[in-house]
Amino acid sequence: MKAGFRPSMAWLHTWAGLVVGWLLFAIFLTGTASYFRPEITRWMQPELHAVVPAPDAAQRAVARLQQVAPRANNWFIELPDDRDPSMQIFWREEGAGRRFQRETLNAGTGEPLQARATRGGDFFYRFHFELHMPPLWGRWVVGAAAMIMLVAIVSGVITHRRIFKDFFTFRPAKAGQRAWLDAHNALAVLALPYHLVITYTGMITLMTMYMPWGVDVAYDGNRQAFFAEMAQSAPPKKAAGVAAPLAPMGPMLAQAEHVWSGARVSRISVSHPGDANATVQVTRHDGDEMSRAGGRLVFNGATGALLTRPEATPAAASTHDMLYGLHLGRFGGPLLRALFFLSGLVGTAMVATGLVLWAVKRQTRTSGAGWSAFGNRCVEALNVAAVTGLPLAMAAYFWGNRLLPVDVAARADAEIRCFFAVWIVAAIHAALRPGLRAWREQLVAAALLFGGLPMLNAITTSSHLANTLPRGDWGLAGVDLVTMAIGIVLGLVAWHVGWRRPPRAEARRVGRVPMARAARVGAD
Amino acid sequence: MVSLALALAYAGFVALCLAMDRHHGQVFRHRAVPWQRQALRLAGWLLLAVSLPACLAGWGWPVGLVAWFGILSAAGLLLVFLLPYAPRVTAVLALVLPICAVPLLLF
Repeated sequence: MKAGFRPSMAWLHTWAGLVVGWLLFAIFLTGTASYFRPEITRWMQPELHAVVPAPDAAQRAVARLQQVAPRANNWFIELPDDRDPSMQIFWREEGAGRRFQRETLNAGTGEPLQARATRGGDFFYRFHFELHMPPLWGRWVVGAAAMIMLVAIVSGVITHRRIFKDFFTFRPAKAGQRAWLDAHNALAVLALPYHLVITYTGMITLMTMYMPWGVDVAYDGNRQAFFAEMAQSAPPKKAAGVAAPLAPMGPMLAQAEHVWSGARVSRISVSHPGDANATVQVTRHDGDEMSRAGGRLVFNGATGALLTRPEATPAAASTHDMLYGLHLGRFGGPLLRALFFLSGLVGTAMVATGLVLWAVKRQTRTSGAGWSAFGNRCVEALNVAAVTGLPLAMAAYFWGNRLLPVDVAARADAEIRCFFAVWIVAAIHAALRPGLRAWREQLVAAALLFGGLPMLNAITTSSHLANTLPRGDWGLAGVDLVTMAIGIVLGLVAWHVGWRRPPRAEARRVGRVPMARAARVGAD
Repeated sequence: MVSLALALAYAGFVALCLAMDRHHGQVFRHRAVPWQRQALRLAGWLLLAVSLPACLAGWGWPVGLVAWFGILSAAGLLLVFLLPYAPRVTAVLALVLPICAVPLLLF
């Protein structure tokens, strides 16, 4: 720790950022991808691309459930929407414990659909806060990283002396450290509201896990009671044992939309279907409001009459739901989602430039051998393994989805193994190759994998850009276009990295560099 | 409305940027006189402020407020990363973008 307030904050920012930087990069990048979780999942299941939902999809789902699970205690229906036109049904048989059976249905016909097994966008979503570790462990690690991220944001703002004077300053032509510092500052300051809010609300999403004591005191340690009250779920009624047909879904959905002034229903759960005491609970779509906790309405399943009116949510709960919803970013439509995605990429780039800056600073300051040189080498290798290794792994996940045989055993896991195998190879490559070479080679590889993805998609499926663009299917076309754009950007960065030489190498071939540059400019 | 909000926010940032000596010289190769600096600063803050109602008109309350922060970040980043490579273009865009955004409102 250094003497003085600002130097000590600078010290804190430098080391707090380094310790969790690689982790934060992964959390930011997979979280950013998760804004398009349904689109990614849909892209990864080409068998479902032709589905067009019917207006009475819910009734068709009920018909299917009556066929496959007439005796089940609970039915759940995930309705199709504009982002994911397929429909999921789940049911739980009596005595089956907590295990659900599940089927994907064609929302146009209500027939079951066979799609390739994949985790789709859910993999990135889960990785974002569980890191593919056992859930509790992962969530604690991510929570700790997020806490340190908050520390890094606050100490970074204090450290940055000329926040307004340097607001528009970016000098890429200046020598290494200065240019990286400018880029880091610009990415941090210009999206500072996003960085702060997303980190803070991220911890809100798991706050009852990180700080359960308030709940424990207020509910005498009965956390289940707390969650039940939060979810506004009424205690389930007992079955009457008298058979009664389930009322049609259409009028109930129409009434729910009327009560919610036009907001859609995303989920239906039916308890004791076919019984006189059946209830139908509908959940409001979270794309239609900022708040995350979709309101619920309960209907009498036999008569179709509305049983509960929506209650006003208490202020504390609605604040929590609002902050939670703000983190998920499912409201506000595609343009706002694009802004969230952009801000997420900015946050990812901020972490990446911070990591590079740490390494560049040390490279110019320390010379020779010894422990500090070894430490710098380790940081550099880890930087490459995280900053370019993870995008490579994500691209490999998409390639695996298209290239693995459709009926291979444990297919969803095989895709995830593609992801980790490529990440491990990238880490080994980063450790073995000298710094700048490792950066360039991995950037080129990632550029090719991302840029080539629309081509691969065109070869292996019929939902390629030539079909999806004229159809106006922006969900599918968007995945292709965004991966292509990522490929182009990574390619430009690779070209830029290849162009610049580290100061020492430049000094050695001082006579040759201008000629090499001239040749390159001529070739272009 | 969305494109107008973005154009206004961008123009606002350009005006604030040009009100600073360092960046004014970067774009125009001469210094701004004090009244120009004042006028640019005022115009900049006004344009940024006006982009908020544009966001609210496009998205409604409170989503528009969230979107406004996203729009500000996007506009600011566009300016900052364009400035060193094409300083003149940043100023030209500040005039062209709002003019282009207005006809988009009609469709």
